[in-house]
Amino acid sequence: MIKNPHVIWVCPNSDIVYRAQGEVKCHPSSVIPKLSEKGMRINLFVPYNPTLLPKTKLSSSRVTHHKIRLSQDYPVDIIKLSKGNTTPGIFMLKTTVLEPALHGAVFAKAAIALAEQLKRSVDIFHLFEWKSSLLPLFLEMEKNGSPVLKNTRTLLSVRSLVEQGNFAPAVMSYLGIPETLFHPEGVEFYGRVSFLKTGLLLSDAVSLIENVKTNGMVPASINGMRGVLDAHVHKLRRWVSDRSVRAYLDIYQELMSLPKPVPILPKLLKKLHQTKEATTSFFDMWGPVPPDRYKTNYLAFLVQAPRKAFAFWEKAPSGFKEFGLVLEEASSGQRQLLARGLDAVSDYWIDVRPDSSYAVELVGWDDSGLMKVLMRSRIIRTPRDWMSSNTNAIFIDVRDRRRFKMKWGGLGDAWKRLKMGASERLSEINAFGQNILPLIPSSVEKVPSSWGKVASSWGKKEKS
Amino acid sequence: MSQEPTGYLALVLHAHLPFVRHPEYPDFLEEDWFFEGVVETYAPILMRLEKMRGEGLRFRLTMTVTPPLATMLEDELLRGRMAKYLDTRIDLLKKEVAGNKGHHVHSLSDHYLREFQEIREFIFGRHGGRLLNSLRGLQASGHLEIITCAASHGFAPLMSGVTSWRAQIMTAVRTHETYFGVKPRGIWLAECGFDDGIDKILAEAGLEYFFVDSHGILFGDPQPVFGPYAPVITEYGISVFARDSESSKQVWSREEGYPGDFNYREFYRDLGYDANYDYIKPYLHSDGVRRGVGIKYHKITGGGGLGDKQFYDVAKGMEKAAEHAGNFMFNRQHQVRHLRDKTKYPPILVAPYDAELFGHWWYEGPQFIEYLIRKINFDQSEIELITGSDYLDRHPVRQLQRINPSTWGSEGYNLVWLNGANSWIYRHQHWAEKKMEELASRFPHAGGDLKRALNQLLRELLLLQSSDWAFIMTTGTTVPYATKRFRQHLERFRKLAEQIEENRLDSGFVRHLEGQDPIYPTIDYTDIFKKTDVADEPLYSFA
Repeated sequence: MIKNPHVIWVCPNSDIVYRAQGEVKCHPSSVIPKLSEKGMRINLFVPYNPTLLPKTKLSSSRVTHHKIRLSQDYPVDIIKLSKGNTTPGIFMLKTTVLEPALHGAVFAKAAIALAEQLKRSVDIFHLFEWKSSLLPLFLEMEKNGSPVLKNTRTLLSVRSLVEQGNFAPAVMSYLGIPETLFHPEGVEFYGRVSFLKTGLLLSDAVSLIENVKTNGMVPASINGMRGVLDAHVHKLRRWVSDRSVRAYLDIYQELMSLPKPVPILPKLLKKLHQTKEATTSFFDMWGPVPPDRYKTNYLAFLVQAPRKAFAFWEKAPSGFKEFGLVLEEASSGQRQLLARGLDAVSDYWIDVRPDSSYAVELVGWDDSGLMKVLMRSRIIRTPRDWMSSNTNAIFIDVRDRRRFKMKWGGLGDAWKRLKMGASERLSEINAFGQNILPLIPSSVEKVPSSWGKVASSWGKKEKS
Repeated sequence: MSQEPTGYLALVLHAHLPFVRHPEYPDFLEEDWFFEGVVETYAPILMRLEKMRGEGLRFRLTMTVTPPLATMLEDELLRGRMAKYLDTRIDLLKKEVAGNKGHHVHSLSDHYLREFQEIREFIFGRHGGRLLNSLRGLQASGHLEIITCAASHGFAPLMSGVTSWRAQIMTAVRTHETYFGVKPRGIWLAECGFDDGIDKILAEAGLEYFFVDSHGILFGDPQPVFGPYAPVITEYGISVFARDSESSKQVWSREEGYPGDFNYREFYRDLGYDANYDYIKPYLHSDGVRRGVGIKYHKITGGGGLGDKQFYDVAKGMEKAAEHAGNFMFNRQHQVRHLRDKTKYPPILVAPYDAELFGHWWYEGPQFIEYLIRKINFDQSEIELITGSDYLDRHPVRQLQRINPSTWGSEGYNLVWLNGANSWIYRHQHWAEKKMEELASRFPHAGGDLKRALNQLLRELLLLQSSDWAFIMTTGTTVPYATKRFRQHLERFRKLAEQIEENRLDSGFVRHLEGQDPIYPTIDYTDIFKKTDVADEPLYSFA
């Protein structure tokens, strides 16, 4: 029995901590300080919350840069919020804004990265709800050979079975989850990928809502998870709550006394591969699996939105082992290395600016460390997300192709109101129809006589 | 309308369904999309339009009939299955009428029975099972302008380039001519998805106009003098109309839109879930899973769950539709009056909707359209119902503009069709697009079996490009089906491409695929490199 187990709390809610008097602390009602007093080594990992940052500049020694590898690399920072070597240690993840599925995966993997960073053997990852439920899966996929993770157990606390973190199956490809797992006996849940189910399948123990019996019974109302819980009833433990330090100590000690953790994933993958009937029905349901690669050289660059673009590529086998992506702004020729260490077949989401032209280049490094441009994409133009400042109007009479030029005052400052977030902007556009045009008359009065020509020609043509 | 109206209203109904046809199964769940579309939307709308034409009412509507939908409407297998679908519903309703005697939904089941019988008579009696006859008739009588759409509703901004755009657009125009006997003047770009250069391909195809969302023109360059209330023209001479957000919102908006009125019929509460299982089982699919059967006895009612819904009253629902049609017209009158006053120019309000909103999602929708047309005919003289072509014919002066790349999807750009849930498809789609290009240029004048194979290769490419698959992956509704369809067309494409490349064509395999996906009867793979007399240089310049 380990005397003072090292536990990392992977807590998807940062409310558990707060900043006061220049220090980040756990809330007094939290059980964490009490567990620390009992001699446990606790490190707490929470998502980004800017209110936890100091008012002064953050010391660089507190920030550790990591690359989280999913289908592409996501640069993240792990910020140490607590001082010195005190327990509990409090760490915060900082990422760009990510969609929920991606955030869940990055958060889980970053917790593993934190464990490596701490360079101290982790006894238990204590997880909470679906948002950290992918961790047991990634742990099994990554812990091979890691001395700090070789004896790590996982405990998943689930307060709500309503929140399941269900996503379209396509997320599997970009989260790097083996496709074989998409199966009723795997992570599939009513046609979607369930993060919660993944956690229930692969964690070593589950501490479920308070009224769960652990004598082989699971409650009736469990939001479709009955089958999963029935199959894993041996993992169910009573609810641990902040009211009882004892409950935590008991459950941690019990976990530590379990035999050395046996990897679940290889067995599961093997089983799913061998379930011929199920595999047949899987393909029948989802269609034939497309090839991983086409043995071709191709680089595509697509616009998602005025501020986001997407590149994907395939580089046929060559002497290059490491690849990177360079973004070039076409008008200025300014180039920026976005990422290095990419695979020969992969994709990448890129932040861009509206109303600009860009190209990307796939670059490679040869054995001598020399970088070479391997492929260049077509130039894309990102859409404008506000009104053009150009008010030089040209009108065409399509009957004889005559042109009428017109200078006018434009739509005034109205467009400035449109510079806001996308959803707000759309609702603004909805209201725009009525608001925009009152601005025109004052502008129209200022336009030169060419306006009159155009207008009078319209009048005549309408009558004819 | 003898004198110039204050402004115009262009009601555009975009009728589209993905090509779903599965002869390999005796009974296929997703084919219900088509049967429901026909029975709940297309037939009820066309019945009303024909009735009003008979009464001598004046109206001009625009309707997109996409190539997959037109093909399905003509397909013998699907027409046969549609008759069966209607017969089983009528059979069920006869039981309902008999079983509901004395119950207050009796009159409602009786109403539905008559309605289904009328629809059956309209489709199979009056039009011999061919709804395209109704569409062609309304087009010929000048009440409907039918326009086309990308061949498979392919989303142009995410394709690899012009050859794919050309394949989608040329094939669409060909198919449209086959089914409607005339060249379309306008096109509905799938999801209003516009990107730089598409207008040139439209010009090559002989098209005259298309539609974008408001910000396609509002954010265009230079600023639009008339905002979204007059069409602009691109450098290649294609006119562009913008959606009027105001009129769209009144119908579309989940919070403020008409279809959410408490008196309207509730979509989600359905006899398929309410009835005793043994009673309803013969009307479900062979898997026996409870699903909607299109017979609904409850109204939206207001708050609470589906269990709290009150019984639906048809008369009240229709009364509300009339009230909403009046309100819609009143608001458009107000809008055109205001715009005309400010600009001294006749505005056009473009109000496009997915046709399936009317009838399928909003039961009273077809009645709303009828009331709106009647009110516009009899109760006012300020607005005129018009189509894109009519407006262009009457108003030949247009502002030259570079359209802003845009869509009518959430947030206004490509997010719905390119995100974490569906980004994986583009790697495969682009590979297929490039492979098609390569093989078409390698065999520019193929004949016989090779030509058939290359045409089928293009069919498979077009079908996998359908925007519906990426859309479904985002919404998460029937993701396995969308994924399977994408993968299946890719697999068929790969196998066929391999046979063509290796010069070992299996003509039996080609025929098999032609039987599986009998769409685009006049397809020609050489379209993707078609040279036309449209100059590479723009028709109009900003200089």
